[in-house]
Amino acid sequence: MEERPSLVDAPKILALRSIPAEAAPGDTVSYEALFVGTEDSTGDPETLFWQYCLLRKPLTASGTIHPGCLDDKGAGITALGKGRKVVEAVVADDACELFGPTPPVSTETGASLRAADPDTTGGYYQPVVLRESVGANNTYAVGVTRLVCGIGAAAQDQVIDYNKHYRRNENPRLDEILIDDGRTTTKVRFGDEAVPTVAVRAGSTVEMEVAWPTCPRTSQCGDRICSVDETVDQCEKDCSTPTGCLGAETYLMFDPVSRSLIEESEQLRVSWYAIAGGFDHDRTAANVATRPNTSSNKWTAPLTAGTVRFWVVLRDDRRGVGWQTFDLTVMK
Amino acid sequence: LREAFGDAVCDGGPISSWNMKYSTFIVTLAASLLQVTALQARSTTADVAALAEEPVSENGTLTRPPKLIHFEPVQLPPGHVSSLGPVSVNLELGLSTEGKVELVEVLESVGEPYDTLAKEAVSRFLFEPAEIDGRPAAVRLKYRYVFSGDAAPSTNKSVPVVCFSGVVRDKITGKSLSGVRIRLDGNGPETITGDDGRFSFETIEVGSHSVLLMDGRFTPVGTEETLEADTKYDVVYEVELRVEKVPDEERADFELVVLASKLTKRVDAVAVSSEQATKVAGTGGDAIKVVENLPGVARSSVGSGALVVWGAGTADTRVYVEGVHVPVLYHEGGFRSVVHSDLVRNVELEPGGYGAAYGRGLGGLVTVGYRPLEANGYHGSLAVDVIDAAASVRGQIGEKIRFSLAARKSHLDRVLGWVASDNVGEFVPIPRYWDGQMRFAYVLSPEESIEAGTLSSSDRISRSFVQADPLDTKTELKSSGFHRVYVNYRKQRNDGSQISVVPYYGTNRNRIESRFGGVPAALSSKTKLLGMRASWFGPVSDTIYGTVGLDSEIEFTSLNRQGSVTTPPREGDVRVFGQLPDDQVNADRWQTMIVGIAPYGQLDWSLLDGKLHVIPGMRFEPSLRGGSRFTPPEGNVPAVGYSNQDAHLEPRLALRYSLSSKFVVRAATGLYHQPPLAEDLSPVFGNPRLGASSAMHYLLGGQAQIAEGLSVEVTGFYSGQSKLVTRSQLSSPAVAQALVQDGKGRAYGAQIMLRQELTKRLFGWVSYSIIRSERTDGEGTRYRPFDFDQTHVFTALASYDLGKGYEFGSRFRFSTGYARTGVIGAAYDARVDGYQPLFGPHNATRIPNFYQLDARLTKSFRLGMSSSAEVYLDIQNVTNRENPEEIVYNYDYSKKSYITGLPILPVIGGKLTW
Repeated sequence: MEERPSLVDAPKILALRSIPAEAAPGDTVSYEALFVGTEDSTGDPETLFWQYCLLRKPLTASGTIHPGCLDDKGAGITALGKGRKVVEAVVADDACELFGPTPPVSTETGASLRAADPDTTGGYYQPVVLRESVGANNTYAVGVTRLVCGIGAAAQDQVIDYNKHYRRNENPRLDEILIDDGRTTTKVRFGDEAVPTVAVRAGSTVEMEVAWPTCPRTSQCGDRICSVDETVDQCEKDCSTPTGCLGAETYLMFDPVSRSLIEESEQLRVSWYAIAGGFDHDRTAANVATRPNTSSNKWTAPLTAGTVRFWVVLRDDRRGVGWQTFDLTVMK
Repeated sequence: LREAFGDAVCDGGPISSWNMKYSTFIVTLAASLLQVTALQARSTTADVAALAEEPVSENGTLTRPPKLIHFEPVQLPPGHVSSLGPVSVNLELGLSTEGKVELVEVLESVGEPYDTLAKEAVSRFLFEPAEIDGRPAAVRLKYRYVFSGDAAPSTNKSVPVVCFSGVVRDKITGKSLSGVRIRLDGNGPETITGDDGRFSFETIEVGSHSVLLMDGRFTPVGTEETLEADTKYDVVYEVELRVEKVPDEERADFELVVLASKLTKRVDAVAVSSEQATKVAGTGGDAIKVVENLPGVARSSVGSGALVVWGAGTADTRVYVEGVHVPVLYHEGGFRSVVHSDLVRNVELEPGGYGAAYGRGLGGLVTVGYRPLEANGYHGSLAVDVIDAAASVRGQIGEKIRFSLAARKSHLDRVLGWVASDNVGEFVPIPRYWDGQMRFAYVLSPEESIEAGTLSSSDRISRSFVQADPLDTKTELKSSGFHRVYVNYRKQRNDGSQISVVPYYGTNRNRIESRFGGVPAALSSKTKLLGMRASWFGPVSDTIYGTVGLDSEIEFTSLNRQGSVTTPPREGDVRVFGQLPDDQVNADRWQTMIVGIAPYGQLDWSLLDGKLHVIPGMRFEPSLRGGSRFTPPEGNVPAVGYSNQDAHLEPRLALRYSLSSKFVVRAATGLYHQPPLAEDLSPVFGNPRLGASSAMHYLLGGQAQIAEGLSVEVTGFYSGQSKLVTRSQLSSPAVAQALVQDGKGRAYGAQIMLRQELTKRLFGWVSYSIIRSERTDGEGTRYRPFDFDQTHVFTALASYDLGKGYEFGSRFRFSTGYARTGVIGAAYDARVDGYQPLFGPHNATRIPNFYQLDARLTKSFRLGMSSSAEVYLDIQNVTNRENPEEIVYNYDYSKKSYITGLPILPVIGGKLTW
């Protein structure tokens, strides 16, 4: 069972993204899929169907979603549209009751029921399902929108503090990649119009390092980032329209162990994909010890010449997602 | 209980005459009886006076002769070999009023070193003082100390023979049994026990001999003795009478008994002697480990050591050591039990239907009994193999105090570090453990004793598997342990009744920490425990014996938990190995108190001339549960404690009918309750409202003696369980009700055991169990196989004495694989770039069947008079079969494979005993 998830040898979904990454009930969001294929089989975006799951996962179920939502005839499904991208999906008004810290109320007894537990970042999520239907076969991918629901089971002053200082998550962004074949290092800045052509020898191994923005560890008014300890009163410039950092953000969360508000920094992970060759690792973490806004991997080129397409997906642990694509030329 | 005597004993120890202090009395003893006197001198119950002729009085009347209560054997220096046969030194001893030897004079010298050695030995003798006119008096007596010949074993003897003697006692009362026929080797020599229960074969050839005990009061029982040259054997056989006497806590029916003493045969029980148990292949020399080979016990997966008996949950079988409740029987990994085998007299596994003396468990009952502390010098053992090292020592301090100490510590982690890669611990969980036991007994009288002791055990497993992706990084730590301090008071009364009181105090600790998929999980608990078991057993009338007692236990537990509700998983969870854990997390910190004080009573009514036994019992089980928090933490709202209470009557009934001396039919039924686990009473992760679960057991079986030494036992059973704790099936359960008691269970099946008990060199058995264990998880759910259900379990084992100290054993095991839930697809979890499995019907598939062949070769050596050594090679999985132990999938669950068990595993070890 040595198959590698980093090898794209058939059309597949590599990532789903909610834009924005975090939204409140009633907000309008859009969803985007990184649906890729190979030269031989590119995949048909018309086979992709988006749907909201409006069922809370039972306590007995492992995994991330109610099993009933992984069924095209499931009871808790709300269709959103089809294709690689959908726009104007509205987060359900009762999302914080369904998936958040607001205790639902029993329709029979009127008593409060158990609220959902948060994830390790203190977050609650609206699940979204992307169904790929090819013939009679359905495959599913699950993404999420982080919900703005506040915190549950906390003291009143903690709730106030949290609402005052919590900053919504931003999808992270990949800025550039360094490709080092042992002789030369080539920098590719994503989004640049003039992308340099990078060529490597067949069978050679190159080192790749992707980078994302560095987030400030201390707040500084005027840095265009509304940090945890900044408020609109203190820094109107940054916080009148709060904006987060596109790297490893600092965020506030309610720690269920200490039962206090704590500041945490996002951990970022990188998933690597290519249609040929092989990576040392399918996924890597940030180079915390050296350059924390980067992550490295090694890729061995195939023995056949040609153009190899790559996808790099950056995920933060508040479920924000960003990705980039680039090509390498493999020469004999 | 075998006592190996020194050379001097078999032919020696004669008292030709004894005198009152300074020639006041002369008592002449019959020479023919003197040898026996010396033998009995090894026992505190021996009575020299019983062998004496009528004393001659000069100044008063001898009202009680001295009694030798401590004999001192002598080992000749190397090279001193008598070619003339036995050498004896005639001595005259002067005894004080305390029974100490104050004077030793050689009357007839045979030269050195015999004279000096004999004087030194005799000067360490201890007597119960003689009495003249009813008062302790100093006396003088003549004594002949005999050296039988060879200092080195097995030299210059063309036809080695040994003395083989012993006593047969009632196991319950300890009274000697007269009239019991002892037959050797099938149709070999035979003798009958005398009024004192003793028997003796004066000249038996060395080698293995079958020993059969026959009497109308019990089913014939037998064992095998291996007699070695230059050794005197004095054995104690304890039998359980079928009619007149029954145990205070009737558990004879349907139980499987592993005996660690030389022989304590129990009627209606399947028994294995300690020697046999430790030589079973795959046990690693641990007598208690042989329990795994008995019918009705599921094979635990590699590295588990879990005890699954008759389809009950792993936490449903209670374990007691000498009446003290302990949380586990085996160390983590299942390599060893938590009690040193040298201390163990017997292990009794009762899969179900046990009497009123025990409760609080829905499954089976394991009781480990200690062997009595001896009063014959210092003994001990030292054992080492690749897994661990163990040592034990026992002895006495003065006349009244006896002690025993034992300890064991693992070193497998270090051994693997030498022979395997440094990171082997990342892939294989390597257990690290130790255990220790202390016992101090004060003998108030032959019928009354008090013992204080401790039991301790500690386990730790940790591993860390670091990957470039934090999602794939796994860390795991499991740590557990317990300590117990207890006092055990026993008194046996002249009317046949006996009293036992065992109060104990202890602590348990458990800690589990893991991190997988970026999700931390932790569960730790610390328990303080107070308990007491007290019972009275005795005759109520000519045909009825009664038992009354109190079984109490109070537990105070402090717990911390962090992580998802479904981590760690519990029975019934649908999941697969390696699956990313749920990342919705919470935390809780809570305390609980669980109190159970259960009085019980039981009668054993003997009818139809003892052929029928009706054994009704009743246990009253009131339970009180309290906790520090009734609802989950909520802001600054102070915690509100709670207490729940309930009470249950638990009727028990057992019947046993002897159709003939060779065929017994039995039936039993009983109601059992089990309090919830403290870890399940969390308002966040569990439910503080949980009450007791219950089970009803029904058993029907029989035992037949097919031929001499060959028996078959068949038992069918049904166990219905209700109010089992399960996860709430709801998406949004009520607050503090993550666990509910909607579960039901049923286990039914049959087991058969065919056992060859006695041949000259061979022992073994074949057992087969067919068991179906099922559960429902709540209303509207159907019965599904229990996670630990093993429909078929087959074990065949044998051990053969090859002679010259070599013994070969082998074991074959087959079992159905555990039930698992199949994966029928997967969904891509784009949040974390992983896959989540989609499951088919609950537990509808299975891990493939398990087959394994193990072998063991042992070589024993005699080292001097009372020492021996043993080296062994225990090879598990001789055929190197890759037995699937768990199902594992590739990253997107499109392909299935198996984690296989241990490859061929040779364990080399040795044991030195003195």
